[in-house]
Amino acid sequence: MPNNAIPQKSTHMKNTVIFSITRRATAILSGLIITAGVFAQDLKYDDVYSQIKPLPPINAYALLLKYQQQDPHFANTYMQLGNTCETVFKNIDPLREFEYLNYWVSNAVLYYGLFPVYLQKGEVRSNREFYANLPIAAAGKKIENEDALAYLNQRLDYCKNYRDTTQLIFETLQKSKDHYNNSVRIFNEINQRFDNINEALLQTDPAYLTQLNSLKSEYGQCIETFANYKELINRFPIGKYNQTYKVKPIETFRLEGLTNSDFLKDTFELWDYNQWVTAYLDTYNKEIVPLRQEVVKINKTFIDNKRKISATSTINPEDKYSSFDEFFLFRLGKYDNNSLVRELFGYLDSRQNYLITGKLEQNATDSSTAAMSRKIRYYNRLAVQAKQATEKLSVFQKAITPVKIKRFNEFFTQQYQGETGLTSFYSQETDFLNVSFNESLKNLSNYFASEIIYRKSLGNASGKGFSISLFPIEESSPEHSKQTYITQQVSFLQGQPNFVSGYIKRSGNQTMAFVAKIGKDKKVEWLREVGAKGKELLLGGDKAPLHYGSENGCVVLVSGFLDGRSRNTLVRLDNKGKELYASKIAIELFPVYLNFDEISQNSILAFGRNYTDNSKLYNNYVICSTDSLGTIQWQTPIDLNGQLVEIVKSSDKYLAFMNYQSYNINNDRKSSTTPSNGWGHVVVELSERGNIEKSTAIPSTTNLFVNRVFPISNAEFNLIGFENQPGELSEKLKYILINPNGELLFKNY
Amino acid sequence: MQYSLTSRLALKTVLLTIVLFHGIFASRLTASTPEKIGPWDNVTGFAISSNENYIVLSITIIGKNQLFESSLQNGQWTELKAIDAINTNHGDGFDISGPSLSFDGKLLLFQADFPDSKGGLDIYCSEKEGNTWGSPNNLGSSVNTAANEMYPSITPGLDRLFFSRDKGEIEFKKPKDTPNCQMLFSSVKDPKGQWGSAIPLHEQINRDCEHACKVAIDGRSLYFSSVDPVTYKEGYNIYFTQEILKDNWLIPKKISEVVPDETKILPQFVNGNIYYLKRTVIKKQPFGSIFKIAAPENALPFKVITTKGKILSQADKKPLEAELTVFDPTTLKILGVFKSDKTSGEYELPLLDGKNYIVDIRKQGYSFASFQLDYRQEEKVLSPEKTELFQNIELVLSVYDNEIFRPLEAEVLAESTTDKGKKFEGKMISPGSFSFTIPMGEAYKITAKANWFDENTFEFNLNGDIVFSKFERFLPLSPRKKPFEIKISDKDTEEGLVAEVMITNLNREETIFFSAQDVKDGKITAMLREGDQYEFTIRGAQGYSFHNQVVDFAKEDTRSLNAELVSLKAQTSIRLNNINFGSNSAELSAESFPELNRVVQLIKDNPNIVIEIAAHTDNVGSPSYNLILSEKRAQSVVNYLLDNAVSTERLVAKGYGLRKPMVPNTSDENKALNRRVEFNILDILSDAQ
Repeated sequence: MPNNAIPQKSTHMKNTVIFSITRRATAILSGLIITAGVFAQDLKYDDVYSQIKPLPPINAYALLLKYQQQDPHFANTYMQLGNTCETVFKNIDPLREFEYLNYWVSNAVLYYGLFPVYLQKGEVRSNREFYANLPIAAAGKKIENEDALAYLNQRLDYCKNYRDTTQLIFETLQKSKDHYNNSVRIFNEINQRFDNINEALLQTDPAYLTQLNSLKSEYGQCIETFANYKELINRFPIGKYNQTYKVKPIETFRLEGLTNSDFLKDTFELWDYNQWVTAYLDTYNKEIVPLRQEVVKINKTFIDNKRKISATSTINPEDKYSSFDEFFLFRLGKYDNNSLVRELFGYLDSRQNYLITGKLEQNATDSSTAAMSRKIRYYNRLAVQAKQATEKLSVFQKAITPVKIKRFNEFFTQQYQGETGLTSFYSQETDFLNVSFNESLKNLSNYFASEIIYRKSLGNASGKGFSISLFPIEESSPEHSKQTYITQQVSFLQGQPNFVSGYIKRSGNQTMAFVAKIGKDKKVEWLREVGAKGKELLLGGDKAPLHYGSENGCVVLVSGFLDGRSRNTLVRLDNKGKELYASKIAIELFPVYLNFDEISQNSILAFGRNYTDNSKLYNNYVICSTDSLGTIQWQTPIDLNGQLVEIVKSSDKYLAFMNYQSYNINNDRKSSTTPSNGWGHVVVELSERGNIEKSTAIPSTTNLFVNRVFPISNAEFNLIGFENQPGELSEKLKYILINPNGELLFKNY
Repeated sequence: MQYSLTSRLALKTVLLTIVLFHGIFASRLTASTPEKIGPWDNVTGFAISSNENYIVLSITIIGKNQLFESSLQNGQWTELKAIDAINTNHGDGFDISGPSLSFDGKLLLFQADFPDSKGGLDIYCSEKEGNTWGSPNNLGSSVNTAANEMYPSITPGLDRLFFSRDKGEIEFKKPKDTPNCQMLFSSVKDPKGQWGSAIPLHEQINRDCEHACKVAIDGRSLYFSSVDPVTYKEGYNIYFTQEILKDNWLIPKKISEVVPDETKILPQFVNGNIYYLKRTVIKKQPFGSIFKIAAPENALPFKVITTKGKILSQADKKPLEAELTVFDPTTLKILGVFKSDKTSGEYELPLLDGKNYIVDIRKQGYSFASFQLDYRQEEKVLSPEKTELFQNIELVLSVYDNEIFRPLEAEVLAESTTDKGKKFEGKMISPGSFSFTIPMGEAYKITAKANWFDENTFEFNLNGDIVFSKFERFLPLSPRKKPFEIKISDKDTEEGLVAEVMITNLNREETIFFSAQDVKDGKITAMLREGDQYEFTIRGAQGYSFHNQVVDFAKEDTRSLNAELVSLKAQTSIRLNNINFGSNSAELSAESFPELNRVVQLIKDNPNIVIEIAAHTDNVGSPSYNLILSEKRAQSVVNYLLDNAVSTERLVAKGYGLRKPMVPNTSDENKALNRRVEFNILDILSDAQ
């Protein structure tokens, strides 16, 4: 390689160490960088010097380098090379092509540095025409080596200063941009992590706060460093750079603030992360932190209230138990509009109301004299609140998602042990609501028991020379053989016995139906024998198993058994015992139900065939309605094995509530199979004209035997039953609310 | 002193440079035995893929060159297959040669004398579509001139082109039967994708007789064939040079062994090997075969790290052809533009080691993605395995009541602000939550409207670089409200009264409560929502009745309500509202309970009053029937009150039947007025009583 030739040692070099290094450096540089014309003819320096001025600097540089290779000992070449490199680097964009610039500055420094190495005594003066293109000030008349060296030192200082300054400026700008890039990266990470700004605010945790601080800090350092950069370029203007930036607000999360910026443009835009973080932290500190504290406080209030309520036997309805104000929900909803906290507190509030209702005085075990309807209405209210609490609990359970938990992570983690804890909480609360409702129902159960005890305790009503039991006497009862007047039904008015119906034992196993009006102090005001016209005694005799009593009189259903058939007569008596009508009912089945509408004066009756011995279970039901004179208006058979509990007129229809073992109603067939011969309950809807509209079985996975039906309003019916037939009061009550369509509104099982 | 110091500094720089480059000169050429590639002996040009298993050849057929391709399968090159898409694109009889493949093998450059040539041979390119090459395109007049332009070679980043152009006479006599001397040029692609003016490479490279050059994977190392003006009798040999800085090249080095009468041209560096064409002429008939030798250690490209990734469509995970632009992170200078493969979505980015980069991924109509590569440290930050781009974003809009934060049923619409006809309706995904799928590249106005709420809107600009595919925005709607004045007065004296006012919105969870202190001069004004139904319950001070009224703003445009409270005195009668029964029945409807609960409260608040609950009927039916009906209804009400802890001593039920109509029973409206329940104060007991 011709370029590897080592130049001859200069006799003018005083510093031999520097010289030896320099010699090698020159050779290698020449070899590294392409130079021209080693194969061309020898150049004359006069020609080179005259050509370099009009040539573009890069070409002038090549030409000088070509000459340098030809004659590496001529000092002026290095001065000119240094000067040319200086011209080149001054035209380089110092920031966009910093590496390139650095190369040329280093070249200039190198060549200027080589000038004194090859400078020979008196050389400048003798070759002064080759220094004419350089602004070298002569100390004397003509420039000398010293003048050239002085100039050289200036250039070296300049180049070094230019290089150092440019490097400082470049690095300062780069630092600023690095900080900005870090800001963009952090902001991207934040945007990646959260779907929206509210999610971010709610999920702010210490790690995220650190990240926000980093974002702010990086951005702050970017701005600060850029200011330093501006100061530097003002002091040392380079490459006409004088950039300015505009800050752009970040308004839309995930859409803005995600892209880099070109810091080398005259004007560039910076996302204002400072403003974003400041506003963010402001909101966080002023709204989210207090909101979190409030959530913890409210939760504690609910816990405290629950403890207080549990410890209290009876609560005055006027007592106030705080929960949360409506504005809390506004504050919460502003950031968490489908909040799990909202659903949790919604449930806790509902539970609190339910617990308070459970402790109202109506629930206390009270005497049987309390009106049944009052008791039932109270339990309806309790059931409605239990239902509401259950529904709210269900809403809460459905709202449990990791995302929603994260929004109040600390609260849910510390207070509820996170998602697992919340799921357990749901199960515990479900059990709690059931257990507490059933616990409350025990008082109702006790009430029913006391009602029976009360009625049994009523003893007998006394008439002139006879007495009548004020409690039904079963045929199997020992009392049956002792008594002449056998009570089959007692009706009450405002808690007091009103009418008694049954039969009078006669000789030959004959019976005569009677109805008696019971007055104050259990005195029999009057007693009427009622039966078939002409006193015809039927086989087995007449009995009055059913009656409806009111303050205006009563309606009695008299039934006898003749020729294997039941014969029934509906008798209406006024309050004085005067018969208003006696109407034969042409349905030869056993009477099982009677009700009377005092407004329309119509009766609704039901008959059936007893299908098991000594039981109250019937099949081949017929329901009928009579007008105000006892004439049948319509009758409808119902194919059901079981027991009719109640028939209720609701608006323009009748609802028959029936316990069943099996039925086939309008091709709707059902058997209670759990267990076999078990019990279910069906609501049969009949039109005003007695047509069966539909039948709706009450869902139950276990036996259901309804004992009582209470209309609460036109919209709700309360059914109370047991799992076993006929139901023991010691058993857990089954409490059911349905609407007139037979749809289940609430159940406690 | 100053001069000495400066000199020392300069020399330090030099010393560093010596150390840095000393290795290059210390090492020697390492020759290996050339290995023949393929069975072909009539090759005039070739290009081998970067994975060395695909080759494009130019072969002379009846005096004209044509392009052929072959693949390496099981160590054997498959039979040559003519690239007809190029060879016959303009018909037969054109001379097509000098193939060169881009790094990714998706671009084939070559020279041809097609009809659209600017003169003689021009440089063309063809893009691979699937497994076939597309129609050739002339690179344009920045590159192609009336002279012959030949032997193109392009950098991996497709940003710089090297090629040869015919040159005139030379100053020495090159060996006989060797290819014509040419001059090497380069052209740089501007940011708009246009080739800049072709500039000859430095005269130390273009010494007088060069043939062709190919740029290596680093984009900075050139391998070229050249005749040394000094040793020109050796003919064409292979040289190596490197651009160590912009426009600064190393002195070219001969890297092939000199073999007399052997012409080595078209060198191509691939994976440490130099492929070249050995050209011989026997009986004036040229023959060309491809050989490869291991590249000498001192003639290797700069170290390149090739990072790989895949670009897929987010929607269907299908591969996408996208453009990857590599930037210098500091200067944002474009360092190369790459493409992902259309069929596989895969891309490879060969970039110089020791630097860091920003890579932007763009595809028209798709989202933007960007990642950083950092090769400055030992631990390299490479490209992500896959990048998914999307065409549509999903905007989930939560529309809710901005006062009670409950979701709203709303009509939501995204409408382009530039193309008014372009509309997208939101699909409800849950109550108050609507999902839009909107294509990018436009700004949209998102609007939500709901009955009785002010419309709300925001600008959603999807122009520019979209990074995320899912956005969640909240659009709260403010209820339209109107002032509503509640005037509370004594029915008899008409004087303003203080009272507690509870306003319950029956449509949503809104309750407004004013304490007695809030009521001034018997008046209070509340801002209430248009279109909603409100229940006003005014609970007078002790000794006054309550007032309850439901106002449905959807049906009536009223701005005030007069609540005339009755002073509770004996013989005062107050009509109860909303007490309903079943038809011909005394069964209370559930709607009656709130009013009855107010009566319960009133009785509790005024413990000294004895009241009669009086029920009245219209004149439909007999008097006796109506009497019983009214008695039963009155009793039902009383029973309800008793059930709610009102003492039985303070209550009397009384049915009046049709005897006391309020108005003549002449119309259904009048009859409805006559069917009523009243609350009559029979007596006010003294405390002692």
